Amino acid sequence: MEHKTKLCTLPVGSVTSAMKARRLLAERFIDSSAIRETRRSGGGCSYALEFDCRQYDAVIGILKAAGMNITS
Amino acid sequence: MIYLDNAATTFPKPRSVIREVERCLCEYCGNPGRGGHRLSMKAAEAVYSVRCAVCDEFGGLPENVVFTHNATDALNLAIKSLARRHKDGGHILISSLEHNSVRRPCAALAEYGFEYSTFDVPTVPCHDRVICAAFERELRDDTKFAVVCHASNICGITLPIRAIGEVCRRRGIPLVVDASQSAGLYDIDIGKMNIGILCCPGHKSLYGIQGGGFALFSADCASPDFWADVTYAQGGSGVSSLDEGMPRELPERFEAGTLAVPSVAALGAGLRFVSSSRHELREHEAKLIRRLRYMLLNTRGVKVYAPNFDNTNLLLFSQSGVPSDRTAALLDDAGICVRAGLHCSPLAHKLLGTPEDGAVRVSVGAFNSAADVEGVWRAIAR
Repeated sequence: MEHKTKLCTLPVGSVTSAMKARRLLAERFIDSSAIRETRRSGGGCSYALEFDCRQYDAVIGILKAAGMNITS
Repeated sequence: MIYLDNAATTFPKPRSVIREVERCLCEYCGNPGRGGHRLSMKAAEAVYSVRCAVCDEFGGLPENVVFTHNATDALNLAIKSLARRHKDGGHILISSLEHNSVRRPCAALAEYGFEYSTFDVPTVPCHDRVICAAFERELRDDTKFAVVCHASNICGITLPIRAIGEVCRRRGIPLVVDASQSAGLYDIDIGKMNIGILCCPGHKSLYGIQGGGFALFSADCASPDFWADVTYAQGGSGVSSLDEGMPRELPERFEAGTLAVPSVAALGAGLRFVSSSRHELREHEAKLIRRLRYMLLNTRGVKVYAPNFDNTNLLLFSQSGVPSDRTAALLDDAGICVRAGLHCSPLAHKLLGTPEDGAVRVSVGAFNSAADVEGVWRAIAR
């Protein structure tokens, strides 16, 4: 039976923030993708990170420790 | 053809730069930060890599690299945005070597209550303290920021940025540095040198192509609170589209509209080209200029300006009784490309005391040889 990974998304704002976040996570061996979101953010378009939900706490911790403005 | 106008734009470009521009146009030149599709994301990845490469070379943080069209664009952004933080105007201090890319934006701020003045730079080699003292003497209580070049675009004079930066740090004044002639050749670290905003072109000694440059902001000059309600150009940013104002964070706050991705890609390849051989390149170019200087100083009727500065990649001279454009035309007839006139730097020409029509500048690059500069001397001596 195939197990599907449950994916979480985390808004990060601009594409620059998304690229920075992706690199920070990759340095800690956490895979993520940058995706564009048009629905969730109140101010219009933005970018988000998509990653394995099992890594959620680690992702938040790494990005906050790097000083990124993350609203979990 | 012998190309000796590298201070205007380096030519030819390294093969690696040409290949990267081609790869960009063929493989990843989507619009970064706009779409969510793979080509847009590939472009965004590539652009972010170049932001990181800029920081590897000059310090700072990738998100504080604002890509511009050239150094003039970066300087306009820095100067006008810093001025807009002060609603009542004030004073701007610049050096007597500044290019019109500094002088003109400062002069244009007169209508907003700003006044600029210059501090004199000695035209003979001297201790950093002497230049710093001249700088500090001209600071006023209402000086809001200072703008200085790192290296002159017409002669071998360089300014002690680290020492000037220390004065600015002590006085709480942001320092803007025009590194048009030094980026790629000199060691520059915005943190160690207390630079507030570093402005660079991509197409000179960083060996990128025309249409690209950047302003690198220090952490102090990058915070959203620092800029509060100040913006520069307004337009699409790919995020927060419902807001009338630009995004609060750098780089998007100052990057309105689509980036020149091929120029950014070229800058990245150029940075790779210079980062591994910066000191060798500088020594190679300085050696060529030393050779030419020796030959021209021993040629009757030729005056070399600021001849006592070493380790430079350019030389300014004039021929007695011959207009500078005539000398340049004569060299062009011999297949040699140099630039005559005032080089957009009337302040520096005045400081050096060149004739009214300016002088002739020879500027070398990575791909020049001793035979190239000997060609100049032969044509002049003839």
